[in-house]
Amino acid sequence: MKPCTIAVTGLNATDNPGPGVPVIRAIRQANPNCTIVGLGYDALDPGAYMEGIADHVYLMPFPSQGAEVVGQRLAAIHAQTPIDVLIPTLDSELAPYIKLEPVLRGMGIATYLPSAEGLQLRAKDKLSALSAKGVRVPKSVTLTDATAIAQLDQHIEFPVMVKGQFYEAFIAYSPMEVHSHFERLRAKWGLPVVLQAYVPGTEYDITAVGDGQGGLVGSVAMKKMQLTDKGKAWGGVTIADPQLDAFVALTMAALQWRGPCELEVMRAKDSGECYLIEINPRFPAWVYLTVGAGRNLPWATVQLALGQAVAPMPPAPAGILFLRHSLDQVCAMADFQALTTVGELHRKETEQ
Amino acid sequence: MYEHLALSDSGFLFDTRTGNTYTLSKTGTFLLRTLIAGGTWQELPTQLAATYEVDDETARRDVEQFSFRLKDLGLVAPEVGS
Repeated sequence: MKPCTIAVTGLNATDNPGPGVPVIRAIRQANPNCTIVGLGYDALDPGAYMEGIADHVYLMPFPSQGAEVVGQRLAAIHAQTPIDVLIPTLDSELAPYIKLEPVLRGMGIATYLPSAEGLQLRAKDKLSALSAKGVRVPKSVTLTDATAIAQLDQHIEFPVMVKGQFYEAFIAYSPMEVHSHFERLRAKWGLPVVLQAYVPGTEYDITAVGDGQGGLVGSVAMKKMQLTDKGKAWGGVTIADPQLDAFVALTMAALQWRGPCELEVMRAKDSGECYLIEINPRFPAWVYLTVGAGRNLPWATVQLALGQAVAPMPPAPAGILFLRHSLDQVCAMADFQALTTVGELHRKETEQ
Repeated sequence: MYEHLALSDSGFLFDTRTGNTYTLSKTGTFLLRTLIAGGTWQELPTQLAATYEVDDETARRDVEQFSFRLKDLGLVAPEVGS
């Protein structure tokens, strides 16, 4: 394959790392000679400084500033460091990047993203529509106004999960608890806030790539073995469950999903049935596990974006573990200065 | 019936469907290894008694308890071994 330049977002890494660095690691594993452009939002994003990760780093405007502003910044970056493929990895980026897709294509930047309709269909407040397509989902209520909270028990059984538009979820056992979480999530992520019936059972997470026609390019299912205090996976193991695989295939067919995603599925304790809890429209931070399982989904996404055929992957093997580690890296002040003042950091020559 | 169970010689058991792991005793390892290799629940007490020098009744009770435990953990279906 000819050398290519791939831009990846999500270089952040606090106690809840972004998917950017693992996506980049997976791409480099398949193609060590590619050029990586890291797109970050903060001069202190650790992924910008990691050895062997990004050849060029550019700071971007926040997605909330709108597709036009993001597009202008990308055009300027592309003029200096031509990009062949762009992979967004943060939830809030998907809407503006989907809107920009034709513009990016015109510039020569390939993406592999869902349609705007697909993105809407998997939104937390629209998930219940999938039940009409045969995908089991918990009952949900969409909240745009705190005054509706008092009558909640007429519409949904407690306990419930109170979920932010993009991130975070809290369990609530009463309307009072719902109110507290609602205000916090509304302030942080905006509206709507979604309540979802709590399904007691075991959670499984699946990262997958859909082909946009209802088909599955590949998927890897994982059970969390270690959690952070925010419930994020800090260790996990791949599993192989035909029933779960069938549920994933059904969900992808119902969504006609194109591109990467993460499915959160709960297997109910009483019935053993699978429930779709959430769909994240991008790779998860644990996606490097797909490399360990022999199903490099980030690289498959690059290939698909470039119009190359990727044969559907066989089911991933069970028993591959990942354990996350946090390490301190010593960084040069000059690098921090470059990102802070100019918003760029280069480890390779640029076109200009 | 047992394809989803990966059992090592040391007694480490991994359920490939759920991701759960367990550690079995020597006799537990012996019993499950026998089942995975094609043995039946009916012949387990005899094989246990012959291998571990226990009387038939103790072997029968141990196999029964083992059966309950596997079902309780969801490692085998409830009707298995009945």
